[in-house]
Amino acid sequence: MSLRTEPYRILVVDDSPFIHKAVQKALVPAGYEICGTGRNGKEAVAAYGDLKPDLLIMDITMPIMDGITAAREITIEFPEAVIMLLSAMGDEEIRGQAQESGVKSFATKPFTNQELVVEVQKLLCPRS
Amino acid sequence: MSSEYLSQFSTSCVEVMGKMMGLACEWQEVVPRLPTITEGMTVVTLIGLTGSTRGRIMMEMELRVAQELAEMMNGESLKAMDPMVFYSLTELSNIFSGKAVTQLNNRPEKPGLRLTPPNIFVGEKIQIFTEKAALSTAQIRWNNSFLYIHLCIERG
Repeated sequence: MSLRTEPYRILVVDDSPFIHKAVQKALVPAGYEICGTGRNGKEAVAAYGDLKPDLLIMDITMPIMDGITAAREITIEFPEAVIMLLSAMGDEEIRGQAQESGVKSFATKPFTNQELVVEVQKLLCPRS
Repeated sequence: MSSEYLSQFSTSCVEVMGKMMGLACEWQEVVPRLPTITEGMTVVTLIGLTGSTRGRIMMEMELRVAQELAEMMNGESLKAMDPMVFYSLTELSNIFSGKAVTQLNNRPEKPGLRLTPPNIFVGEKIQIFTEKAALSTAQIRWNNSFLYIHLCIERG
């Protein structure tokens, strides 16, 4: 088994540029690379196919296409996709829909840098 | 119901501002007054509420306060009209509204509330009218600053 030398590549999709910046501030110092950003679910679907990131972090409530619909479309084409939904909404119904759409993790806003790093580590390097 | 919902949104706002900015805020219900309450250049965010209850959640503050909050959220200085000020404020309103709706939806009556993506308005003498809606307002206060949350619930 070889050790990974290049950083994990993360695609961030949220309609708020504030969240793009906050996620970058939390994850880049921890050694992750933000390989792209998007502002709605449709952009997530297109960017996922182009970039093939190690992880997609995505909001739920977005214009044009919401995050759960986008996650469903991505996991149909890429069943191995690792998707984390990062949303202010987290009721039981939404969590159920998220699970059915194939996402691997669900985190709620607001988050501290440390909380986000821990969630990402659980997904990308679960034994670290 | 309007007062109960206002309490949930205000409590969520206080909790979110505490976690994101380390602010010790207090809230109280005040006499609702729309068009906007604040003087001078005003920032208003607006989020739609859908599901079994329909309405709007508005957050209103002076531009000076918007800049102050955005700088705390970003951990850096920002100019008053920097787009990041407005991105930050819309996200703040999205986060506390989402937290409030999550807690309301997890109650036994499960109202199935959903939010629309936020909008933001900036200007002087902004006029916001709420026909066919019950309005309630809370003031969130910290140090020498404050903002208002207006909750408009459609009647019938």
